[in-house]
Amino acid sequence: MRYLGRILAGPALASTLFAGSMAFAAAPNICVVHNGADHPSITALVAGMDEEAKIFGATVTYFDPALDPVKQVSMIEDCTSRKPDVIVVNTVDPAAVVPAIAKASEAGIPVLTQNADTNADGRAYTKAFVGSQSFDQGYAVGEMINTALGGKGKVAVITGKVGQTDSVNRTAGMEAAFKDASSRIEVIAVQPADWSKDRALTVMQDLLTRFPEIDAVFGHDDPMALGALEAIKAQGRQGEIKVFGVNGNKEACAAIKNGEMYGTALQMSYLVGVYTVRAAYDVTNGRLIPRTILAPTAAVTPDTVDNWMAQCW
Amino acid sequence: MVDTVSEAGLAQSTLQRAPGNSSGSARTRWYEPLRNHTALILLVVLLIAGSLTSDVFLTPRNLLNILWAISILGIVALGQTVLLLTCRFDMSVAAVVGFAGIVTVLAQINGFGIYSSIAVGLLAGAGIGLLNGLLVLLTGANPFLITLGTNLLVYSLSLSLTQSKTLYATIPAFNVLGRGQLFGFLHVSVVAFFLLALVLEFLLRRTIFGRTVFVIGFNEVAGRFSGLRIGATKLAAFVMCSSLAALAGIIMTSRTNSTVANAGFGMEFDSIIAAVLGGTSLFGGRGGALRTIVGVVVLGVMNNLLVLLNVPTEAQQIAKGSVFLLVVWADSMLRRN
Repeated sequence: MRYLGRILAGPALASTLFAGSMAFAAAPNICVVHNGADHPSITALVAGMDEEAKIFGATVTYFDPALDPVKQVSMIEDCTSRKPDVIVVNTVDPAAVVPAIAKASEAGIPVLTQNADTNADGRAYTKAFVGSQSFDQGYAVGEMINTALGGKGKVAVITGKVGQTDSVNRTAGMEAAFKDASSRIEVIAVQPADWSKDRALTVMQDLLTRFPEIDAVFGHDDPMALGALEAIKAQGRQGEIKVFGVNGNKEACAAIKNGEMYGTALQMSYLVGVYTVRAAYDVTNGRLIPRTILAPTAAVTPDTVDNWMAQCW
Repeated sequence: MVDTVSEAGLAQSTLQRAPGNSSGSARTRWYEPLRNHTALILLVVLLIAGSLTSDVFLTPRNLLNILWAISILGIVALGQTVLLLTCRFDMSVAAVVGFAGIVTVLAQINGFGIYSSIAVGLLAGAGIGLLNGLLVLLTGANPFLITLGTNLLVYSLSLSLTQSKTLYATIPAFNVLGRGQLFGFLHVSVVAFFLLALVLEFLLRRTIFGRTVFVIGFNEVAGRFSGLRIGATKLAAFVMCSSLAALAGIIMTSRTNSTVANAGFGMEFDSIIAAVLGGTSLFGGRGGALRTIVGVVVLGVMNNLLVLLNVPTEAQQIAKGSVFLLVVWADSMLRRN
């Protein structure tokens, strides 16, 4: 009997070990520091993270520094002291976060950047960047503008907060698209409206006063594009000016469908959230992951809006 | 435009009543007549500079646009002025601007009519003001810190109410408040701003409430000894400030037809800068509502010129920083005398 017991116990033990290794260290504990939670794209991103976390059994904790770089640093430090398995940072200022993510990395906690990456110094301390490239979104909008204007005309840009990664890259992406298409489009103004619809309305109003001729406006996000649209409507210059944005939120997609807006770069924020949790799971379990994990960007125009309507958030 | 005579008179009488405060400095300097009107001087300079550098600046439409742009911040700054006169601040106005809009839109979504939804939004703002006032009175803690706390509280409440999403107004007629024009050119919100400033100026100069506000700023102890209702007035000032911020938030919501939790982002500082730029002291007892109009207009003209002249964005921050320093400098000069 004793021998029989041993013989039976052997494979049983082995199979227990094997089953154990299938689910090893399964559920990562993820600490996320947003750059500012009050934006529909972040709502979509959080939804993506939460749903994917359910599948992987991960726990996700969110912190919101509301676009304050100093607050973000202290929140990353708070995250570090909670000893999670992975820290995810959506940077407000690419340079300001470097010391904080260095500290986290030295404490043995892997750091991922999300949506907005850190700079080259900071990348020494991060495992991967998960996001939709803001440069690509700007590039997609640049291509749309170039096509819509037939390669020549005057464009005004209404940017997000000055110096933020998204603001810098979206303008740069647009300019690169113009250059690659050797387009003769002239950027007549680049003015900040700090991601506020109301400020975008005021800035656009002033741009309309200053420039008798504007062919297109690029708002760095859809709310600002819609704010600019309000100003254009108020001065009766619709039809003359084509309005472009980035995000692909429901309102913008509806405006494209009814002909008030001309295009937006659909940001698949939900997928960014999904990819982040998968990357966190892999990192926790010692798997290698790609340095850059990108969600696709789609150009939503009056021609393609029907295909993308379901993806608009 | 600004009733400096009665202001100075009141200053004199309060100082005499205040124990341990001997007469003010008697020495007059060359800049004496100017120093009280930093904002007016700045406005004239900006108007001249604007008309010289931009050919569209002095057009009626541009000037009306400036007024439309500033009316929302202006209404917030009026409330802030009342509190500043009592030597207090309200840092929660930024969150209240968003919150009031959100409450109004949620009320509309839940079947309230246009007027009742606006009333609910205003009441929500007044409620936050009452909370601020009671917390300050009961705890005796620094109003700056208390309202910074309620700012976070109200902002988080807004975030959870909206789930961080943009909410859209559902009643088309609601847009009249933010976008409507009287006589085809004057925006309703601009008229509201000016009327409110006039009413507030009257309240401050001609009523016991107003006198009490100034006395609290000058010398609270003296006011208490004179039997003035200090506590009630402070409470009223907080409610007034928050209600005006709520009104501004509702107008902003009507203007953009939508609202988000951080709609009022930065307005706590901008409203203080506008009021102080107009000549209301950071240290209470000096200033007025009409002065705040000038302060807000200066900010509006500056923002307008930065766009009209296509000033690079980095340089814009320098311009704004310089104005802020000028404000602080002017205020400390005023205080020294």
